[in-house]
Amino acid sequence: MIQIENVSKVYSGKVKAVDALSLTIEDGEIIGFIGPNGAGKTTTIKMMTGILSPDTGRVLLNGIDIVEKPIEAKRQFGLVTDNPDIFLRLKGVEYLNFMADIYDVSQSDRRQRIQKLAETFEMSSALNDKILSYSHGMRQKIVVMGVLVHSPNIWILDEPLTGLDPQSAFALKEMMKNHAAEGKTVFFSTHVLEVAEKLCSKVAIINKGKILYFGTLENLKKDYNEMSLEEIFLEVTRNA
Amino acid sequence: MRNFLALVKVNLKNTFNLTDGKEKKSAISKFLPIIILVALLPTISGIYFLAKELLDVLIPIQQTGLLVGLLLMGISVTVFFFAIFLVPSIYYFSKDVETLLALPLQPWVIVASKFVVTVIYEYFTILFFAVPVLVAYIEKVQPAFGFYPILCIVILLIPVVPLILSSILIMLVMWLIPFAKNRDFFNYLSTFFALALAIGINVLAGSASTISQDVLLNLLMQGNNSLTRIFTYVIPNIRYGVEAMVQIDYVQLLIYVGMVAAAILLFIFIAQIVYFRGAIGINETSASRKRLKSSAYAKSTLSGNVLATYTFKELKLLIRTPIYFMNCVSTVVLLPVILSVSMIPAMQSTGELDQILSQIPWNRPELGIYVIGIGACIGWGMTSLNLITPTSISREGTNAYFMKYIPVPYFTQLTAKVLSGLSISLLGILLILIPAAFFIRLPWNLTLMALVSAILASIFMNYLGMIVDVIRPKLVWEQEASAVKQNLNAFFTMVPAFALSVGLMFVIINVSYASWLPLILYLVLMMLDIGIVILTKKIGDKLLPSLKG
Repeated sequence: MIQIENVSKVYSGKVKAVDALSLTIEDGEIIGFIGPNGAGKTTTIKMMTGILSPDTGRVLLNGIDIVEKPIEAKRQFGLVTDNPDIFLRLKGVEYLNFMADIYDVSQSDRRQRIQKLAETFEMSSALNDKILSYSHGMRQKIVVMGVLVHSPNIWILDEPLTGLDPQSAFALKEMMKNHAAEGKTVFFSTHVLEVAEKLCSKVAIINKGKILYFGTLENLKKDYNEMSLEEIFLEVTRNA
Repeated sequence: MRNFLALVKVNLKNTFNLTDGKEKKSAISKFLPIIILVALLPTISGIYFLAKELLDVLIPIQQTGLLVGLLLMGISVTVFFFAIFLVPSIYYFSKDVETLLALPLQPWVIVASKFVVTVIYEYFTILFFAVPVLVAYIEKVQPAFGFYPILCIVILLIPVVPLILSSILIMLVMWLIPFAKNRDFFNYLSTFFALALAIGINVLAGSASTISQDVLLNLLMQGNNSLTRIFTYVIPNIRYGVEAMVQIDYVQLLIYVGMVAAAILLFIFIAQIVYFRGAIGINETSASRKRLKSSAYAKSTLSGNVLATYTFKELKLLIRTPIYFMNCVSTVVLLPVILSVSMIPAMQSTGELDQILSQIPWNRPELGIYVIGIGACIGWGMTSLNLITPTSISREGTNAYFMKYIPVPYFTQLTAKVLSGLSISLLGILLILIPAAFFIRLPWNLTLMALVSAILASIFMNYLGMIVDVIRPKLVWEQEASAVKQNLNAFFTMVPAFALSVGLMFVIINVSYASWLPLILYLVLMMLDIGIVILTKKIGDKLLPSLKG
């Protein structure tokens, strides 16, 4: 469960990136976080994960405050950031093992999971190569695998499907569904509205740091006379 | 030409003005130039007074040109050696190279634009020792008005030729060494080769310029700045620069400028031919795409302690990134090697030196405090030289936010970075201490005493470097070299290392010996370590949460 309570963030004392944002995401939900460029999506994710401190409000992950008890709260989630170019001189398997050590995954669990994830994402033959030699999509896969290797309760994913090939994107979407079906939480930002439409139990539309809509897609469509999500999105953000 | 100017403009903006100007500068950043100036003041004034004293000797014998020659020679050699490390990273390993290669640009345009930025960067390096010497020269010699335009032109052009020499050397090495399957290994090899060649050239030039005592005496007796003629061999235009400045001779200046222009033309010509051959495919990395065997997989997925795994991650990235390896690891290894090599001729001689060494009374207890002091100086020196901890967050660049979302306490992460620095420092300490102990026949117990104090000193300096990088990490950079070479954090550890070494040796020389002194010295070193560890935790916990991410 994720509780974002009245969170705000102002950059350089002037630009209000996030403005009194509140969201409660229950267990078992997949939330699509959508909004135009510069709407405040990444800033919100950064505040949820301890990368940025909110100026006001608080974020609770499974009831644990990210500012008050950072280490405990950080154990609750796995984060896929929007930049997969990380630790490029490590080999794929070294990166995954490093992440497993960081999150204290047992030896037998990590071996089983890395093998399974490598098969799923077709990365078995690339694990022994440096991440530097990977294509953008492969780097994205290894970062996603680095999160899944410690099997976190909450998945927070910033544009996770960018660069993935169709098979891997399908596999990840299936994993997200299964994760939610197990009563856990998935929160992901995306620009691809079709993905949000097909995958999410709820969507949160953000613009200029404010939540414009948070609820199920069915209700949203009812409110907008059964328009497509794309049309609704354009309508909502235009009038914000 | 328009492309060249546009590229120079972009490169200058990227190198010297990375912020958008909207951000508020921290108090430290605002006063940084003043802090640096104050910190450098003792060294600058030291150079100034030294130059003045030298001039007091040189003026009566009409050899003031010797000082000018020494200055230009010093600048050239410094620029040449700095460039050997800097040029590969700027010309070949910079992030923008792949983008530039895809643009419809002539090779010389890319190289020359990067060259201009490097020259400007070199001005900052040479400024601090050129200014005090020149001020002393002007004050003592009081040259005529015609001297000043010559001075400006000579100083502006002085880094050009050595930089061209090192640039050509690196470009040829990058081109000529046959393609190796492992590109990273090739990168190490080529830079090492260039360095070895540079040292070789220097040694050869040194031996060529050795002149007999008779000739030297003869030149000295002639007066009229005859000694400037010895600056002929390594970089030929220096002599004309010196003559132009000393004799206020515009013809010599013309020859000097002409030689620089010829060097630039040669550089452009060579760049046009060889740059693309070395640069294309520079970022390729070997990939086997072979499935791991089950034994190798089992070995690669062993579980480990967080501190150890984080430390190994740091070391792997340090060693596998050629630029970091060159700047942080190889210097620590090369310095002792060069020192050891220079010791060999002395060791082979069986004359006076042997006699002096055999007369050192190693069993006298007061020598112990000197050994401890020198050990500590080696520890501080070798640690401040490797630049590892003061750049460990900077090297993460824009990925530094990783530190903030993983469930590992900041202090553990900082300690892992310190441990990686400490391991390389220890390697450097051992490489310098063991041959030195062997050379001066230091008994093993005293060697051990020096080693302990060196380790204690190294712990302090590594944590100090860490604190500096926590306070002012340089996270936005275009090329990896900027994170280490163009990062003032290194300076903020070198100055305290120097000050601590001078301070400690001053105390040791002036204190009257007592049997408990070695113990006190160790205690002081340990207290410093404990203090800085506590401080690192406090500063890390306070500042890292607001690290830009």
